[in-house]
Amino acid sequence: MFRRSKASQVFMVALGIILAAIVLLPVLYIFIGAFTFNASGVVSRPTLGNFTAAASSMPLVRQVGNSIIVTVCQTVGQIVTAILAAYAIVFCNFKRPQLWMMIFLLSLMIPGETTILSNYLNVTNWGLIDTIPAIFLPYLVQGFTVFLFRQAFRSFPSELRDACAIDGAGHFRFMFHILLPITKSTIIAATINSAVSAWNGYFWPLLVTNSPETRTIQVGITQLSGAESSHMGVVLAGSAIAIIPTLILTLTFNKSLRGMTVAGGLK
Amino acid sequence: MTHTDHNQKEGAGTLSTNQQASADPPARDNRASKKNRSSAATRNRAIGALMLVPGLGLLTIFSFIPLVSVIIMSMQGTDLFGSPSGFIGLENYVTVFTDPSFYSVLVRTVVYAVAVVFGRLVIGILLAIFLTRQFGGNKIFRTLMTSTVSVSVAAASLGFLAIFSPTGIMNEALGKFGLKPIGWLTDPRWAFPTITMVTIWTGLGFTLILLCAAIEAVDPEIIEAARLDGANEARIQWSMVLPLISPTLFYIAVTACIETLQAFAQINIMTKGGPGQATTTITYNIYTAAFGAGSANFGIASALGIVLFVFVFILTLIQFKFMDKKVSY
Repeated sequence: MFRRSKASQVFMVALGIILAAIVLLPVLYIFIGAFTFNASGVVSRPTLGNFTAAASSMPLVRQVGNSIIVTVCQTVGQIVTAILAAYAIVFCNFKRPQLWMMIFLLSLMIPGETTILSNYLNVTNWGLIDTIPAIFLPYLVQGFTVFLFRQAFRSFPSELRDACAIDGAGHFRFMFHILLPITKSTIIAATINSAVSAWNGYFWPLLVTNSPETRTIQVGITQLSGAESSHMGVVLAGSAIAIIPTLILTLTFNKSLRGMTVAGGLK
Repeated sequence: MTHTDHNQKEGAGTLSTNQQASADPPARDNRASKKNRSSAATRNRAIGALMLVPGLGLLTIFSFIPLVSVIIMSMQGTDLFGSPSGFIGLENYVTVFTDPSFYSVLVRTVVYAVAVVFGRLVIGILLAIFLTRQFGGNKIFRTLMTSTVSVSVAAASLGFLAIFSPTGIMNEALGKFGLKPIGWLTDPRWAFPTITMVTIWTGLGFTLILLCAAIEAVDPEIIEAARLDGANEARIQWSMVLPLISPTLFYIAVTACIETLQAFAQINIMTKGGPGQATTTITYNIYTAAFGAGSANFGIASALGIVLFVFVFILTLIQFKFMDKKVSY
């Protein structure tokens, strides 16, 4: 590493600002448009008018609530099922642990757009169409999350595990007091990964919900453009509401995001 | 998965069929402890089996059984209400494969995937090289650019809808240069490239996360040695860094391909597959066949779904080759 001159430092920062502006253009456009676009699509003085218009034409608050419920249930489901399965595969003396891992990885080979057809008919038959549980029910387990935890657990020395067993620590004590605290970074990375994809879901929630009251925010904002007295500024205000939570999450835990690449065995 | 699970080797001490234990003199307490050990292992396996139940059960109900049902549905006809009826063999596949419009959808899907892969790699590499330079504030730029990973495709599509709208910033920029406005999403020639651009963007955040990590993992001494030998910066990046991070490039290519095959939100929100069929890909075709206005045909949609499954299955197999491989330089 060599010291950079002041001129090249200024040049790099200027280039960075230009590149960041281009890469972030859609995000910037959403926020600028949300605060400044008036009915004729021209920039005016910043107001919150578009947000109130969006909230009045759609039950946006309710939809954000729905999205929170879906995100919490789906994330908790994916993390819990993954920790249990990965623990079983790594620590429970199975004769063929890889075989069980393969079954979970097989699920990654099945595109959701294919199984959606059968799941849709099932959910309809169970009378769950247009309910919140229908949105997260098929996604309570995620093969990739099992894989992430299995990779993390495997790096735990099994002599230590045996030592804990001799000391009389049962499975759950070992899990909660020793294993999970050590694999905290994986838990954070996997949680962010699951939460972001749950919050951002679109295709399935669009199919299984009909009424505005059961829609998630992602589907809700796409219905805004058809709403009465709605214009681009209102649509962008809705979009801003839809991306703020996940943006805050990834800006806060930006370091953990990089853990995902390492956890996946990609060095 | 080609690795051997080290737990199997290390955990062998707790298995009942233990060579070493049988080589010991047959003392009574030794046999007792052996029995204890093997019963402990059996108990462990039983507990493990219980722990697998939730995950495997849910996967079976919502992934494996549905796949089998879709295969069955693809060989069934469709009644007036769009529900599956009667076995008709491969008729749906014949219908799909003899439909000339299916080939344009297939070709379009492949072109779309290749263009997105290429775009993400080229733009991603250039940005990642910039973001891994050492200068004051580079961390901030990296955080900003990689945070786009969390922007939902639905919201991004609405943002792009505004950007590419007739009065949006793109046409305004064209006007500044004295050019005619373009119907980015309404002109059949432009809609497809526009959707491709949007799809390149939606995966850019994740691409940058992977690429920055890969470039930083390159041994700085190799680069330093090349620099001392008088290699210029472009040469170092092109003939040293890129080959060294090629496994990551390949992984990005495969995952981008899978993701593009499954792209739905941007197409549904921005163009509805139109104008005409200009932006209809295989996934969007599944949607229109099953849930399109007045054409609910689950049989045809299932056949298309199986075609998509074959694509994704093959690509995921390739992806697994790279997922578990520690790359050594």
